[in-house]
Amino acid sequence: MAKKRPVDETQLNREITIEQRETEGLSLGTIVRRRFFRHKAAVISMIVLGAITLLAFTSVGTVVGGSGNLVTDPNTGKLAVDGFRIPGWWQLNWYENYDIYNPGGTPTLNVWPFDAGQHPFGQDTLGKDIFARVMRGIQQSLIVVFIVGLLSTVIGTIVGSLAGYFRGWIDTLLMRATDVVIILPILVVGAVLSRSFGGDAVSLALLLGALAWTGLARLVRAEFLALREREFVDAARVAGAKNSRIIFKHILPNTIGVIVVNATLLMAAAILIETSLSFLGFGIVAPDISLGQIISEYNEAFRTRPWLFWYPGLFIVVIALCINFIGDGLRDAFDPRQRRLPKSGGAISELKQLIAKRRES
Amino acid sequence: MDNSKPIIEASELSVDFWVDGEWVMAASGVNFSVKPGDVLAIVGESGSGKSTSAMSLLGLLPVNGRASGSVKLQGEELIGADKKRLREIRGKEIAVIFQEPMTALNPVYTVGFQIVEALQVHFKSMTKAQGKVRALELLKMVELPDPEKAFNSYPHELSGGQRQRAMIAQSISCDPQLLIADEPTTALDVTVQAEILNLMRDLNKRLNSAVILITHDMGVVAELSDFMIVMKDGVVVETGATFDVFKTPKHQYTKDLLAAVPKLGAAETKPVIERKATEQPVLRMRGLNIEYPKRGKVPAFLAVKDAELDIYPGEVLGLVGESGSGKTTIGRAVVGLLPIKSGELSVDGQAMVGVSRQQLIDVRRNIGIVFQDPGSSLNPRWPIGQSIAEPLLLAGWDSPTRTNRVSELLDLVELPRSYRNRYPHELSGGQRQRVGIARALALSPKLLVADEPTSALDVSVQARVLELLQEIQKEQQFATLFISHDLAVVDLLSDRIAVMRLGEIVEQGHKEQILRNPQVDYTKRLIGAVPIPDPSHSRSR
Repeated sequence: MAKKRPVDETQLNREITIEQRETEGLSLGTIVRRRFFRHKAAVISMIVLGAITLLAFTSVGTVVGGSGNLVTDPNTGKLAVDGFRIPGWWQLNWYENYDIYNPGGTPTLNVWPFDAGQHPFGQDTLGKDIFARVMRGIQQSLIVVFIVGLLSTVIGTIVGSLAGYFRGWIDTLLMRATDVVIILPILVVGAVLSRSFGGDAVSLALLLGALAWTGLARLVRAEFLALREREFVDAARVAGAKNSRIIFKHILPNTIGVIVVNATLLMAAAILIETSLSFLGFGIVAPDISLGQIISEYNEAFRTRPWLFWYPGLFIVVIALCINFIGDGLRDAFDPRQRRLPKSGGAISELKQLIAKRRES
Repeated sequence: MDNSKPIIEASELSVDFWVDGEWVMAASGVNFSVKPGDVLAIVGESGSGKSTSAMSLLGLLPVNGRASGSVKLQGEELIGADKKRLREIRGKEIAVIFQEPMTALNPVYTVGFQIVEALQVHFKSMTKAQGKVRALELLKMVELPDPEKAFNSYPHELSGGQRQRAMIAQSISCDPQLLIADEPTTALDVTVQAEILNLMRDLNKRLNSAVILITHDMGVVAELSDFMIVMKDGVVVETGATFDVFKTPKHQYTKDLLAAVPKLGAAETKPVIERKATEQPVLRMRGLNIEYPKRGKVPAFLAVKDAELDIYPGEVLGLVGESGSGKTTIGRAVVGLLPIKSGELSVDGQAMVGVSRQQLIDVRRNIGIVFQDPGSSLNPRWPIGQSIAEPLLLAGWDSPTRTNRVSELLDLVELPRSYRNRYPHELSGGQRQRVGIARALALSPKLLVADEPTSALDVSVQARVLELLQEIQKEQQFATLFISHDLAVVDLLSDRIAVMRLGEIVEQGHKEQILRNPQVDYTKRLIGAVPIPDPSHSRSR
């Protein structure tokens, strides 16, 4: 073949449009990341969620492996958790009883000047440290959220992409199976099954994950149905690409927006499902702890010791809010139609102009 | 009529968009005025600011846009007018005909309902019954064959041309003084386009309204407009009477634009090549039937009937027809993307009927395909270098040879080598289509299928892409199946032409024979309907 001269690019750059100028030289991933970091609420939420996670895991430490049941250490005669215990910087444990420090176990936390005191979130009637319990509860709730998010995303994506790509009888089969899972009331099934599968965080998470993927599967399927008709898929097929290559290399990366956004929103729903189940006494049960379980355990002390609710409740709300905001930010970031306006515009200045105009006339 | 006042007058109209923290100019210093009964054409490539300037007349800019300058509708200032007043003006004083009638009409309401709705919004006292009478009158005016039936039809029940007529009926329902037609015929077939243009010319005379026509098609400009302005990069480069501009274009850009328009019959004639009897065609079709299988209640549909074609090495065959004639179906069947019902199809000696998976992969190494829509034919998540290299990767080339070949291909389609790391969304339509061509040619195929490769591109860009394709074809001598609805484009490129209608090849033969001496009525009609970019010619009609 005859070789041609390489072409200079400065002149060709003039061909691109105004809209493209904003994204010149950036990959789609970079564009999305930039847009996401412009969403203030999402960025703040991400920082807050990170801080909460860090706080929960470093403060009281955690337990790796083991059954999670409480056992009496034969050497010291003290209570301990079965499994490898990683200690944290907070000296108190979530399962031990301590002496009542403040009368009635009221919180010792002082916001200004800041002073945590002996039991910042107070104590219950037995003298358990609520701060340690809430921290452990956050750990377990977060574990549930992430396992549910991961598991349902994997199942939903696989089911949705296979159904959408192959269509025909595979689609029918998978979608009818999805319908069957959809009609199961998640709270009832979760309640019944979690009783038989033990009440710890991981098994509850696996159970919820195995039920919560349906919405995502349908969305991914719809996305695949649309994308498989695009010409770049035909082009790949003509080039000799196999089905697996087309699914994983061509179509799946293009559905990442839908998947990420919905997985996030699904995780926000998961924390609420977990807390409701635990509150009803079906999800995570003692001796394991979750935020919902703490509220459930103390639900009779609402009038006398309200701090037993405040703190777990506060963290449930904050975590759910953070995840929702992050999901919101992701959705905006993946939305190509999003346009930004100059600062001076907006509803208020428009209103001012309108009033000024009325006055003139 | 010359002494009458202009309906709309724009002076120093500018439109800017807020992009990445600064105002970017989309159009600047646009001046024009249109008198009753006149048609003003705004011509330019996509991104030249022609649509944005026209939409700013109505206050219909995207949220990040702003307009400045002055636009007077019969003396009333429109820029900065309050929203309520603008809403009253839209539809009543200024109406718009959009490019794609299927998306501009609401699919869940009948055509009649939508026209009556438009009437009732602006004439509050009008009853449904009065509205219907008026709507039927309008549908009759736009020459729909059965107004009563059209009134009760949903948009999907009408054909493309009928939909555009219904759309026009809706826009003229309130007797607007100004009609903005935004590429009114781009989505239509040539024969339908000719009818719609006739209708618009006729209505314009009868209603004595002003028309602003936005288009990139010089043929349409010549047929319809009295005055024209040419825009480039947001700036007006030339204004004048259409007749004068076509005859003596002053600005270099206008000259280039006019030169870029493919003209039917202007291409050089190619000698008829005698084929030796022993020479094997690259593509051979005999009695080919392609059927879209039954889906649910929709019965099976025979998209291609009894097709017979041969393409020899180094030959370009142009396949022409209107939308729905089955030309794309043939193209897709050739590369094995559609199953064949019966008949015989062979590519490079390999029979495509009953082909095994491995054989198909092998034969596809010898076929390249260029798709119609450059926006959708490249994977948006991949840099273009990776897209071009995919056929090579799948053919088992190793990484350094792939890299070399990609550079070579980028040179071939005249894109800078540094573009290999760019993403499709960073390229213009013409550049994307060149990438598509590079990918199709990656494995030096023996047969190239080009499915309307330039129909989504601007005229000047189209000219460049066609020229490039022609050059490469001459150099590499692959056989080409060139599918297009545009006779002028086919004329430019092909040695032989086949005309399709309703799934059948009605006529095929050497280019000269088809274009200069068509035998079948349909071919004659097709050739007659092509708009000719020469105002003196259309005046004489």
